[in-house]
Amino acid sequence: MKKIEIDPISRLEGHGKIAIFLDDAGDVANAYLQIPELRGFEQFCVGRPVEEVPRIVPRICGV
Amino acid sequence: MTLLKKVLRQMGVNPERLRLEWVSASEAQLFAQTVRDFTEQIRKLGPLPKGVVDAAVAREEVHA
Amino acid sequence: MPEKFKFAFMPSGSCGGCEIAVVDIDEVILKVAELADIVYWPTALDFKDKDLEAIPDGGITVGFFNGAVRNDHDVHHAKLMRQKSQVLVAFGACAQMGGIPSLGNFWTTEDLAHRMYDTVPSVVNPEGTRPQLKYDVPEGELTLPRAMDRTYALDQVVNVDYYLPGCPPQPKWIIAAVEAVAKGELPPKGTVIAGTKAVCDECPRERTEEKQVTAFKRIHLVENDPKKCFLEQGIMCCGPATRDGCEAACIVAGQACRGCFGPTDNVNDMGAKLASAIASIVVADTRDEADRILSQLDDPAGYFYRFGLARSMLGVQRGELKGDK
Repeated sequence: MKKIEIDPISRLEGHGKIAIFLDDAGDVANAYLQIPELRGFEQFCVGRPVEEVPRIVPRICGV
Repeated sequence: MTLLKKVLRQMGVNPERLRLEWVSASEAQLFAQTVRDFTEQIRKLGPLPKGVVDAAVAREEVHA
Repeated sequence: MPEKFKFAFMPSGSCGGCEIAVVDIDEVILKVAELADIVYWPTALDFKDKDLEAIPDGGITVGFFNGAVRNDHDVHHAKLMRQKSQVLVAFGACAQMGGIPSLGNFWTTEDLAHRMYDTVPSVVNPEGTRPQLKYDVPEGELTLPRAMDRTYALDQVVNVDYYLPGCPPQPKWIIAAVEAVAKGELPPKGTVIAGTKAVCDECPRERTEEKQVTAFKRIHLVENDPKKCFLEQGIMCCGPATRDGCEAACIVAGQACRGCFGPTDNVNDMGAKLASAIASIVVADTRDEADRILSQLDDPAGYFYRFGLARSMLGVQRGELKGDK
């Protein structure tokens, strides 16, 4: 099938890509949203003093 | 040293790999013994797991 | 009519804050628009990877790269930006030294993934599903970039010409950088476009000449005096070894500095410099007393390397001691 890839998704914060598969008739057979990001906030906040966490997690999204 | 050892521990390095001793130039015996003891200590700890840099990141001298 | 410059903004392992910082220059953005065409900025306009690839080498006058290098796609983008930009600026703390995402370097990438996909309380993933680099779906194949073994700073991947530090960078320095480009008065390569002293020099709080630390306390144990130096009250502050230029913004807002502008000149490892700066202002009569005070600091590596773990000499979790502390 023909695959159209939209990479990156624009005008938003963060990374995303979309894979659209077209059948022979040119209609959309399926579309997949993928998030190609891994940063690990859930882990690297472990061990930090609790009063520091509100200074770390705003960096998940600066918008 | 206390502070540095704590930082090393957080980085996953055994703080026993770091040692600070004050030995004057005339204390040859102390120097030799300190080095022997510490070498033995490090041998017991074994090689440090290497922090290898990912191959994809190997610097190329790329310029515009 | 002089030809317009060409600017590009590449977001990487970032949070978007740097790009908001660009917008925060307010009406000065109109001057930027007069000065330059934006040839790539997917966060603001509809650009795709292929648009960047189509730009000829050197076709970007100044490229601003924000965000850390976290996966192989980021590496590819970094190399593309270097190839296509005459001048490449590491924009923001992540590009300069790894930023907050580089706190992940205290763990291996596998540890991070294990937490994110298996053990974090809010996730339900009994089959242990993980993102795959290649995955077959009935219609065809999907691909994802590979996360690197750790987070890297931009200059660990490509040569960088200038640094605009901060998390986020401040409008006044962004404007200063754009003005320098407009006038053709660029500073020496490698310059960090910010102040040249330490945050203590811009800090409005009162302190003794050398700053004297007699204890480290968690904030709930401190009678917070808003006029007195944080360190002298026992609250960790990275001011002594952090580059200034921010006008002590966090301190003015009532929070101690956490080092987002990076180190001052000629410092290789900011965390090491901070460790030595902090240890040298502890006041104690005996070594045991100094040790006792220093062991009161609960998370030294987390304070010293808050924004810059990627550029530490140790680099990444060595894995000799598992399970932390």
